[in-house]
Amino acid sequence: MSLWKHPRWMAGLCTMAVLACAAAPAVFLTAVDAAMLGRRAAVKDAYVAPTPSGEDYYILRQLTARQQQESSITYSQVPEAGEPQGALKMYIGAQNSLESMMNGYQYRDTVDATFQQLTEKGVIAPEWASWASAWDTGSALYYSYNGYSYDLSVPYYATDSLGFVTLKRFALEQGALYTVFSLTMDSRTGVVTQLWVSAPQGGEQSPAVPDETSLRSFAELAGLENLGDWAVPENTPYAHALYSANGAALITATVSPYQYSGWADGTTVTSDRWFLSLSLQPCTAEELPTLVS
Amino acid sequence: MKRLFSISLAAALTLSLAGCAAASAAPAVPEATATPEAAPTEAVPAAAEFYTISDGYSYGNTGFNAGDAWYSLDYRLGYALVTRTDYATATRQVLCSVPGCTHDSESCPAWVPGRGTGLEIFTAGDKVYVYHPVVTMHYEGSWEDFYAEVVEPKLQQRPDGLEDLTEEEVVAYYKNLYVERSAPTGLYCIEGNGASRQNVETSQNLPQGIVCWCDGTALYGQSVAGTNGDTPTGCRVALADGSVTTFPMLQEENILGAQGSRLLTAHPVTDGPLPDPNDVGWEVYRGLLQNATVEYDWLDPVTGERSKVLERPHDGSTFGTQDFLGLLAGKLYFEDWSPLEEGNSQREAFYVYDTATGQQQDLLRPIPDASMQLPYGTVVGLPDLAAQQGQYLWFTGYDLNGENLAWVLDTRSGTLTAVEQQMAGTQLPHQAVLYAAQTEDGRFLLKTGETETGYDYGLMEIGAFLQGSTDYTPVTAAP
Repeated sequence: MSLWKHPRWMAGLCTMAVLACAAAPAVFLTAVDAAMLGRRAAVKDAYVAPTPSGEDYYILRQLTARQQQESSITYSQVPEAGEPQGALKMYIGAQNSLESMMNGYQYRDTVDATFQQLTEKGVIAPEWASWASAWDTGSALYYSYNGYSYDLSVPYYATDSLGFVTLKRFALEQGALYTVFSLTMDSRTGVVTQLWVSAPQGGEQSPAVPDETSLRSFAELAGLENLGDWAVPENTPYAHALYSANGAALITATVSPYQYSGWADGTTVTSDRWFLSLSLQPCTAEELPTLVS
Repeated sequence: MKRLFSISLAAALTLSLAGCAAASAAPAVPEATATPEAAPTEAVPAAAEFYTISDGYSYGNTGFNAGDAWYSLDYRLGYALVTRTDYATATRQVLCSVPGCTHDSESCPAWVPGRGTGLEIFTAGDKVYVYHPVVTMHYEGSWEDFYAEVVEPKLQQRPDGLEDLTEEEVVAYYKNLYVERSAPTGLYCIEGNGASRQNVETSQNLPQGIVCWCDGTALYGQSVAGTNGDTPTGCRVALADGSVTTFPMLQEENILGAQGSRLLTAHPVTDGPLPDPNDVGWEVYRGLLQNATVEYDWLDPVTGERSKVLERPHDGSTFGTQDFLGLLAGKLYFEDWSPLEEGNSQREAFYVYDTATGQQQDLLRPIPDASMQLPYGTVVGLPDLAAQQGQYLWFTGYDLNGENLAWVLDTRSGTLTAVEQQMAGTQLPHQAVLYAAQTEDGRFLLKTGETETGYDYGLMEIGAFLQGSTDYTPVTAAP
């Protein structure tokens, strides 16, 4: 039939067509929504939190650079291709004997504060800090072989070209000079990387040894707790140690008796003492020693 | 037409809408993460038997016992020649079979320029190798620079020993020194009993005194001495192409010997890692070492596996192994030092620790002559020689009359024989005949006389020698 002859049909059909077109977007969008909503789509290259590594920490980079100055397999005056990244072109080490160190009277407070902090954080027992900080205010002088006299009531310091500062206090034992403490810190961050304290041997009982909690506090003071995987290494010969595989860093603590022997007025002087040695150093997994049967 | 037009328009509209719906693609499917490629495992070659190629107290070796012959260097002015002393025929020949060769230039396979510093001669398979490291006095510069810096002043003012040479000869002498001092590390490989030679350069330069052990396919050693808190790197130099690879070692570890497929190493065992004494001072470093023990281990450099041999208290010396004298036939040779008053010590005995039984056994207690030394307990030569069984130990000593003494200990019978036979032509008043090698047929190769450039050698049956005979079979120069 011809639609033109039935105007009402025509009107009806047109209305339906218009309504259909008007509704089409809504229908389309609802259909698309139904298809998309509620579907899980995995993201290509999803973000994964990076594992911290030693390279991310300034103090570990510094320690590694200092260590790389030591063993080197090649003898070559021309740097070879593939030299390890971060290798220094030049390294000047610190001096370590009294005669070549500088008088550090202005750093006595820094030293006291550092020991205070170590004690407060539980890294070392208070007795070690008090042995270390027992500054002899009785103006004891040490007369060295080079003709100079040294005031023993102040710390002495030396630095290396990487910025590690070593502070030492010396004292006299029966006229012979010995090191009371040796404290190595990074000059930019103040992080303690090496500590040695010598104590008189009071009795048979060993002074307190830093345990695992103390070593963790030490890691925290060094700003390295975010390495996240500090743990006592398995099968280790070290009495008290904490190792992080992510940072390739090792913290060890030792308290041991030792016999100090020195020289005074032409005679040998020996003295039984205790020492505390606490250190943070780079150590790759291959270098970490294990007990051998 | 209008109807058709409007219908087709409506159809087009509907279709395009349908197309839109279909066009919303299926949701993105994440790419399957590629599994990381498994690292290709290198085929690890089975290590052959180790043998020592350095006698430990010169940087280099004085000779190598290959079982049928003894290889050594004949030192001349400015160069050295590799020689082969054949035991069967008692002849010594320059290791060169190039016809008409005058043995005084680079074209001779046996000719090695320079003073022979740090050279190590050894054999592996049927080839003779001379390992030449970078010398300590390494010179980085051209021959012209060297000529201007070193040679010209020496031409004006001749050093001792060169006064009688012509100018040409002096220049040639220094040219040879220059070649030695500027050369990178390498291995001369002499083939065919002196027919030809090639130089294999190593992939890294290595200084003197590093590689002292060979397993037939590679040389082994360590990068630095294990001391002062250092951690050395073990290195392996392949004989075929000179490529240098490394294996890890422990802090302050030192390789002391090798046997079978393993290296003998020693390292201090401490409560904490040892710091660098240059950083913390010697007092701190020594304090930490006071409670240390020294652990001797077998180390398999291929797998990195270690097993403990024995543990002893640290003796306070630089390496903690001052009393260790050598490894021979599975036995570790030691001196027994006992402390006296005032910090001194005294030697009480020579003894061995047998790794097979775990037992300690005295060799000589007390030590008959206070000057007696066991210079180097290890035999420099191939692994399966009769000498490697360690039956005869040579001791040297001296007395205040200026005599240089020697003794031979037969470890099986326990008999100690003082060597009475004297070397001929020596500058010192008395010098006992010295040991060079032991042959497979029960004879000693001995240094029987001193010459201007080295030694005269002779062979004698061991039993007869120990009885005091001087009836040597002299080693003559081969025609």
